[in-house]
Amino acid sequence: MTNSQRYSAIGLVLVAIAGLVYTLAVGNQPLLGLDLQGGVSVVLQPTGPADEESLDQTVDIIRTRVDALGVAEPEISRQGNTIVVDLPGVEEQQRALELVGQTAELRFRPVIAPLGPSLEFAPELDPDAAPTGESSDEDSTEEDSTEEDTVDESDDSDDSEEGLAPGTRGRRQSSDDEPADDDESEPATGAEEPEESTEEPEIPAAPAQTLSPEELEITTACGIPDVTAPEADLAEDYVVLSDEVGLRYCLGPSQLTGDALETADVSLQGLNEWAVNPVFNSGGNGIDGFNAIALECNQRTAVCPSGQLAIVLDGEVVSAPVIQVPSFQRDQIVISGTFDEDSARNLALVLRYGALPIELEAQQTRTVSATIGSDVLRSGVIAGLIGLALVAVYLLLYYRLAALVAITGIAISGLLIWTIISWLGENQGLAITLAGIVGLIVSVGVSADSNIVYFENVKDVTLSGRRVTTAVERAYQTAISTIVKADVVSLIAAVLLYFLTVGAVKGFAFYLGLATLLDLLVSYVFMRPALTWLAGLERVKANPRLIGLPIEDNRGPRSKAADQKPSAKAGGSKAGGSKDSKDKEAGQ
Amino acid sequence: MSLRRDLYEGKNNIDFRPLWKKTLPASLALMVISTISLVVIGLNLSIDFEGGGIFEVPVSDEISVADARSAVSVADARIQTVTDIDGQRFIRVQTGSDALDDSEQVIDELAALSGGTIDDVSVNTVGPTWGNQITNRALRALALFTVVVAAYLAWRLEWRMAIGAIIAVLHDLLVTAGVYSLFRFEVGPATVIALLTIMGYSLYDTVVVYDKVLENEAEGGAKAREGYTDMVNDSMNQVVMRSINTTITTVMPVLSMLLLGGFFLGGGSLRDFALALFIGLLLGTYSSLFVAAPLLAWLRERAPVAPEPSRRPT
Repeated sequence: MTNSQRYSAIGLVLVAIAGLVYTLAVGNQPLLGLDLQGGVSVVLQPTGPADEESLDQTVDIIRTRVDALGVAEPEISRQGNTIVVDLPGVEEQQRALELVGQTAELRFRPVIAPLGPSLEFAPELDPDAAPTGESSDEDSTEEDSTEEDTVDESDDSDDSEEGLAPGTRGRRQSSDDEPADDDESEPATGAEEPEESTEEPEIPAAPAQTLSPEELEITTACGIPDVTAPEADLAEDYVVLSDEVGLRYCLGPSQLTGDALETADVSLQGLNEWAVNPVFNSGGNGIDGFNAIALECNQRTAVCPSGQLAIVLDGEVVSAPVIQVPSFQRDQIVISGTFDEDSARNLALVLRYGALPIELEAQQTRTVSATIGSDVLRSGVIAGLIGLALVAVYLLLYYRLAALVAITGIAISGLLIWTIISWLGENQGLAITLAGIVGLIVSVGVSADSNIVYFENVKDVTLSGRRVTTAVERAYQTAISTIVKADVVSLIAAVLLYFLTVGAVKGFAFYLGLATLLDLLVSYVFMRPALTWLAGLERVKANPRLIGLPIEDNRGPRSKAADQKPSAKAGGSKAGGSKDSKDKEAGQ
Repeated sequence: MSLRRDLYEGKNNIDFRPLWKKTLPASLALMVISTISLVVIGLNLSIDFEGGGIFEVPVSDEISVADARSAVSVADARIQTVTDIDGQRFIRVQTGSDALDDSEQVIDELAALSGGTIDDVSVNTVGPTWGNQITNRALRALALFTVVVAAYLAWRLEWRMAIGAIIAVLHDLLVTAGVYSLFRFEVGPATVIALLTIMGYSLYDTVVVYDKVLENEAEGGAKAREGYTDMVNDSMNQVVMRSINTTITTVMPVLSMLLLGGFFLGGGSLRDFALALFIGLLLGTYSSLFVAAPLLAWLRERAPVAPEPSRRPT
């Protein structure tokens, strides 16, 4: 053994320990896959042909939606033309499923009060809207019934919300959007105050009466200085959301979702006046539900004091038209305003598909409760530890002290793997699943095998008459050649599987490959110097049985046991010479 | 006992040839039976391949399968109870792919049955065509893997060894699939992963055996003996202890997964992995010693022993 080999081996041990210290110090932990901590996994595929761009766009939009859930490590990825959404640890699983699925996260919320621009510059709010790109020029819109009694084009013209002109960008005076609603025109300045006590003035109508708990909630909700955080944007709460140019609205609880819509289309109203025609389902989750809230808005009750009904998509106000009539027919609704053809079509698309540029179908949906997840993790870890202990005991019984080389080698691999997967989990969001754990458990066998191949080769060489210290060197040459060939086969499998498959198999392949690489590393760097050192100990030299070699001692490899069957095998493969000559030639 | 001692001391001299005469036909028979079983009985594929839904909800002890049956409106649902290690009972409902549209309804019904919320219900639904896509991808990966590995082995070892190794692997895969088919074990994604692992292992094992043969051949082992088969036999003797030890150390963790998985509900998927691994690992060791080795000997004895001791492994 050369010094450099010895130093490499010691270096590897130090690296492994340093890895452990680093991982503990930084607090990195492996990220558990959703089958281990509970969560939701959905595989989506477009129902029709889809190009790269729209798929990427879809991934972005889903990611935006998922961010609203406050999931720690969502993984949304494109694999071929499928989109895989993994949400480990998500608590509201059914809501998460609805959110990423094909239905729109479209909500109809009554506008309590328009609040004006946020403190931040509006452009910072824009990215949310970017994917659909639809609403930049569709500003204030207005719904009016085309029922027999109120079908009149004049309704279109009297939507006076032209204040939100298409060209307007960035910070705007809140008064700009006030002309729309005739009754309350609250300047939004108060809204910028963080303290709740100062909010009351800006709440129209409601606070004028006695402060019921609900009104207090409205006061609190509408008083926040900026928009409600995505994870707090719950359907049943009062929230503050902004539109594409950063104008904020205080909104009541969601009254209806995109589910209530059957479809949506566009129509040409005048010379270049486009309008959007949503068609609701019939029944409660449809036109009846819509009419219930439309009535509230039309009457400007406490539920909808502003008379506006906001269409909210993925946490952004797409449109907040004034409700002109108390009741609508399900397929006779017109949202008009200052649409051009593109913006109208985009809004219709949003209403139809919930902003995704393509229609998606869930191919696989899986939810795992946190309980079951932790059960799996527990049983996997216990099984792994028991298995590891059994392997260690067996190796110790069979190879005695030499087993320590194997066990230390496995420990080194283990520490390095722990460091790597903790780092990947913390920094790359790569989760370890049950398949990965199985891959790692199984790789214990591979690591043990590399040592076994080596030890058995050492045994062969000593049986042919070499000194133990020589045998450790010679056997290594043949052993490492075998180990490399065998490991390369495993690596080929891992690489091919990683690139050709999806989902669980991919994760498994990753950990198989990682474990195999580490096995190669440990075999190359650690195994030989460690065994050389062990074999060089005086005690071991005097009694090679301590490292599992069935010979009496270093100077008498042909023990009497061997003499009983002199030619059984010794001449087999090894070019075994006479023991005495080999004995002398041996050395470091 | 004395064989064990011989093995330990590396002095075993087992004549494998009579064994091979039995194992090769036996393996052939197993492969035929497996093929017949796969064709006639087929595989018990999980919903991941067939499409369908599985719903699980924790319930109190009073709620029976009959209660669940009356609560769930989907017609041909399979309903059973399972219990985890903490004694928690679960109602498990499995529906076919034609009932996928009713999934939300089933979730609501189970939530109502258990008295919990919809988030207490664990769901796994798979569209009817999804499984085929996954299977096709896996098969493509398998085919490519076979080709690449065969090329690698032909390069690093020799082409007959590549053939022997691939046949041994196919034997392992086929017989494992046959066992799954005959005993109606459910084949899920975990099984597929386990099968892929088995492939790796079986090849690994075979490489170790063949490498020993090559090593002996390079040292002129065939000429020193009665012939190639004799040398293979000696090589087997040299690696048999390593094979036994490797198998033991590999099977022990798998066995602990299998046993633990048998007791945990959550270990269900663990058990799925472990069962296929267990069967496959044993087969892998067996096939490297009793299928791959005699195949190689047979392939080589058909043609006269190549004169060149091609490459030294060192």
